[in-house]
Amino acid sequence: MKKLILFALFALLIIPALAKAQLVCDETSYPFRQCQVIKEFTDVVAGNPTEAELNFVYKGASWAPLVVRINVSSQGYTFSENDFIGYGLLTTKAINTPVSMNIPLKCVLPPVSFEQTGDNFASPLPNNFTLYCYNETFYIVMPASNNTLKLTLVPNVALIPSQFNFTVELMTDIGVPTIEPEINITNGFGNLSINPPYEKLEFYFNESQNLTVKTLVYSSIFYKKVPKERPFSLIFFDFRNSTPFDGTVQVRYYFDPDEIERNGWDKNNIRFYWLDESTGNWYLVDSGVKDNYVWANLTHFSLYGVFTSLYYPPVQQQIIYGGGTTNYYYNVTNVTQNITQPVEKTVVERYVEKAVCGNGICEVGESCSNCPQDCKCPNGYQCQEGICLPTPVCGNGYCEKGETPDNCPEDCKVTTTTTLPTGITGRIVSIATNPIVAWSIATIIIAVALVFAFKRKIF
Amino acid sequence: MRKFAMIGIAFLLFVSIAYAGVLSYYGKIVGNVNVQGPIFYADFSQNKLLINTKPSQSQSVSFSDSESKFIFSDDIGGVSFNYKIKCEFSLKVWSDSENQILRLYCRYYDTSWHDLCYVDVTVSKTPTVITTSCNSGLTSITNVHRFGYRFEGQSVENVKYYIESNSDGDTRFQLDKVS
Repeated sequence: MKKLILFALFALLIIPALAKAQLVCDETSYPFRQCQVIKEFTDVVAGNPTEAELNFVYKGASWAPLVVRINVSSQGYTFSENDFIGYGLLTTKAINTPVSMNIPLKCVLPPVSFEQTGDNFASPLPNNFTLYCYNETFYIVMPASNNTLKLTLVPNVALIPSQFNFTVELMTDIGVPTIEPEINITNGFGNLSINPPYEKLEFYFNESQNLTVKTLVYSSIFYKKVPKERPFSLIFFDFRNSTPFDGTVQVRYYFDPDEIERNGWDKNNIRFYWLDESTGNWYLVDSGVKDNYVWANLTHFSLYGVFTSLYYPPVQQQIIYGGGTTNYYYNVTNVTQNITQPVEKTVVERYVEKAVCGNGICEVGESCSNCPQDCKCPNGYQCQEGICLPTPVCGNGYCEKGETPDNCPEDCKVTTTTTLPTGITGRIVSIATNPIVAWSIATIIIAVALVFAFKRKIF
Repeated sequence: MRKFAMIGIAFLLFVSIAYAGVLSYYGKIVGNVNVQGPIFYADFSQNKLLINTKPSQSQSVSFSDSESKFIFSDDIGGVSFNYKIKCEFSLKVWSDSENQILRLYCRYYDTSWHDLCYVDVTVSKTPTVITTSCNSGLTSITNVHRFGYRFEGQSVENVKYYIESNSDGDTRFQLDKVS
């Protein structure tokens, strides 16, 4: 009995520690990984600041945007716009070079729009208070970087004393758009020139209609997941900001045959996929290849990716991996959407595990210096030692590489400190808990305790 | 558990409605925070009420039964408190004779001074930290610029009261909502 009581006490002690709130990152996809909570928001006196600190790693090769959404809710509470103010500071440090930046974030109430991505965040639901924290520079997360994000919230001095539930989300774009055109559809037809002479997009609506299709075109995106059967991406089209249409539309993407050949991709296996954001998976769309274009019949606007597989000539090949050798036979005339599955799976897994330069995804191990086609630097940035760094602009407030106190004293002061509003030190009392983790751990411990008790015939 | 499920559903609803573009979230942290009402600390060395900050040094003041002591905060900018306020007093106090009555006032200033509420405490010759509270009858107060803490002797005898403000923040009041 004594042991059981001791065990229960021990369990009570460790449950709160184990159940502390955790930052959950989607480790299966880019860009933010290895998330850690260093400090949580804690209990506070109205008027005093409460702070949270998070770490995360970004392994992409382009600068990524970061928008932090903070949502506050409380049962039966009606919020007003002055209930909380917030601000943040992102410290982004290059993993491989001694480059570091402190970037302040301002937090604003919705509605808020980001012209860089076309996002338009509307007002939150009633009984919710939301802040969007960002920097005007927008693309602020350094390529291949360790990042520390400090967030500060100050409840209004007149806030009604209550318990508030916080959700902090790290948001980023899916990639850096190549172009952001609006395509005018007239009498059911419209087209977009992407990269002459080959690359273009055509729309054939089955019902004659006039509309405008807002499009974001990406050559690569941060999102790491790819269809297993077609792991090489050609291009991505984001039509999610477009208004819905009537009927169906056939979209034709004219690809660059030289690029396909250069990369060793299979021209006949190019297909359209759409991203289901709820599952995070790509799903095949009714599509196929004709001449130098891939067609897809769409019934709705979404985020689409054009993917293919490697081309295997109709001869005997040897694929060497691990310590052995396996012979596979291919017949290119039989390559359809259902290409020989066992072969395809083996090959794909082998390539998914390793970074493949030229697949349109900037993967771990790739950088703008060793694979510029996947990890190309956006406009205004230049590749330096594998990192896309902004082309130094003296007077922009950041001491960038190439700038010194001599040639740019206004950016490179001898002592650089980021001035943030200072607050009064608050009382730190509570531990925010993750109810799911706490529930799981408590259930396991209770089960173990019960088994122990029954074995000892305590009951 | 039901509460958590409801919060979860509310959050999902929120996400689905707010999402309109191409920014997606890749990391999420959830937690709870208790926010308490502000604390006004007496600082007799500066002769004012400090908001959420304890005084840096000790200082005591004295006044006789026929007098009062009144200190107030800096301007907080004309904010509205939309809840029924409870003032939770604390003070380190003593007098030169036993069992003397001292009245504590919780006050606010909009365009003039108003008493939110008051309460009497009994003071002894030994320096003691006394805590007590009083409730305001108002459901909200608007355009508040300052809060004030008033100490008023109630004795009919010739008594001297002493109050100390110190770095422990013993003399203060905190706002809470009447439950």
